[in-house]
Amino acid sequence: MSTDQLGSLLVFAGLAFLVVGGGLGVVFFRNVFHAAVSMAFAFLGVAGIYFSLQADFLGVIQVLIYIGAVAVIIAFAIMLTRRGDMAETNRFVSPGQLALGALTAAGLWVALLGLGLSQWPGQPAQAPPLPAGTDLTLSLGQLLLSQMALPFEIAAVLLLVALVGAVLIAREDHPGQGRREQPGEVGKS
Amino acid sequence: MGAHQGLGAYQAIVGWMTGLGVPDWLAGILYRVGAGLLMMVFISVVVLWLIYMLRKEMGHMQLRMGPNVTGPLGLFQTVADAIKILTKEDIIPAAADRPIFMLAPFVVFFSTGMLYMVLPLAPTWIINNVNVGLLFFVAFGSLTAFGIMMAGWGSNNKYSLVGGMRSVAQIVSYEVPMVLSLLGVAMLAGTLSTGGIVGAQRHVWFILLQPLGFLIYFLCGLAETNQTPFDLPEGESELVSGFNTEYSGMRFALFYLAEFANSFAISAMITTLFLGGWHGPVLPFLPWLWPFIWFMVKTLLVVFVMYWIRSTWLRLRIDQVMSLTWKVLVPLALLNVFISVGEMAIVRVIGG
Repeated sequence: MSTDQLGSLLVFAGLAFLVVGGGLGVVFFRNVFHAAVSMAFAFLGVAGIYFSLQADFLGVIQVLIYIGAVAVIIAFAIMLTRRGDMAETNRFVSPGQLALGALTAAGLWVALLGLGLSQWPGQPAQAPPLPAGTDLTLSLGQLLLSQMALPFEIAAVLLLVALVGAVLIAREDHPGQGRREQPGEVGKS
Repeated sequence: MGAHQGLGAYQAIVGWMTGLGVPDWLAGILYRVGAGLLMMVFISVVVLWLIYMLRKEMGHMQLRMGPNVTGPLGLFQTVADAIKILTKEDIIPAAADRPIFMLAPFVVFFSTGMLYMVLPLAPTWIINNVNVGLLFFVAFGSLTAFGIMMAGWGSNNKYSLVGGMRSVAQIVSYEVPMVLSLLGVAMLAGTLSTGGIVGAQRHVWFILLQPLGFLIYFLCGLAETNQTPFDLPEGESELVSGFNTEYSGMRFALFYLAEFANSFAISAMITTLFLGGWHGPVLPFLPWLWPFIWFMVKTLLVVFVMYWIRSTWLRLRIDQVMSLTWKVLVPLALLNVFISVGEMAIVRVIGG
């Protein structure tokens, strides 16, 4: 290893510490809100790794979607299901579940390791280098709206279905009652 | 990271350091740490000025004097306040969720500091000219919501929790019209890099092509930074200053710093996107400094308007805030996208 890589190695070590530490925190924190916060830190570390790999667009999207939306929504959900004692909300329920979880994690680890080491048939050993001055965001956008248009639209439909489903679940039907007065309408009726 | 080094001086400074016998990797790190420290100093000075400006402006608009005792024209008042607040005791409530409570101000300040990474202060004065600078700004702007929610939760105080919840609801909702209003600018400039967008306004400022987008972005900026008329998360009269009720000393100072730094960052972004950034007449005297001066003049003008609104308007109710974004701003922002498409077509036809 040459010395000019030392800087990026240091950065990677710091970010990897953040990601792995955050991930462990999600599993081991007793308080489920602490687990959610440490998950946000793990997401932030992943975004940092994307940035250090010069995948700026991916890194920005990671921050925008995973921290700005997913982590916030999870924290909201936790607040809505508040228990009397927050300190004991994230616990292993039984030894059987613990063993099952450990087995799943080990299986996933083996599978990922196998995927990482093996080569898909027809997959080149290394991606061809991009021509100098390629705007990654631009080519990504063009790809998404031409060659990949169908998967892109299907993902959009999926989100729409999720949205409609959420509205359906959240809507309360009270047949006997009239429409509830909105806060802005007090005194109008 | 070599592909897009900002701050044109990178090569010169790193070259000078390697000439002194500093190894390459260390020079790169030192340069980045130095740039970060420089930005911190910039933020602190700007915030000191902004607080003074707010108090003076608000004072004169409300027929008061504002600070006028400490130093000439009261200029040292904010410095004195800063020293006072830094030496105060840092109180942590006994029932607070300690780690969350202690971490929250740093998360908020971190996300604010990241915003300054993509602000083009002058042609080469930009920490990192990322090619997705605009998205970067939006993404780290929304990170503030998470920090404020942590503060609201960690304080273990119902007023703080309500303030934090309001802030998140507001930031998440106003992000939708904000991003949509930026779409027009990105389409006209053909790039997402903040430096590139300023470059595209060489001939005409985007406020002339995108007046609607400017208005929407300005309102969303006010909401993102929790300023009047959208300062419900702090609502002194109902929530005893909301999510920062329980904070004191250094941690409160960080929230305060982040609030003012945020309003400067939003104004700087408005300048960058709609008011031509650092473009302006360059005079022969100190030619390299003029772009920066123009940038600061425009930005402080936007801040002035923000504080004008802040000292004269009333606070909206939460349902008014929500119906404004979903029923008015989102449809208008969609309309703005269509207007931008029409403008693009016109530009193509006349071959601009």
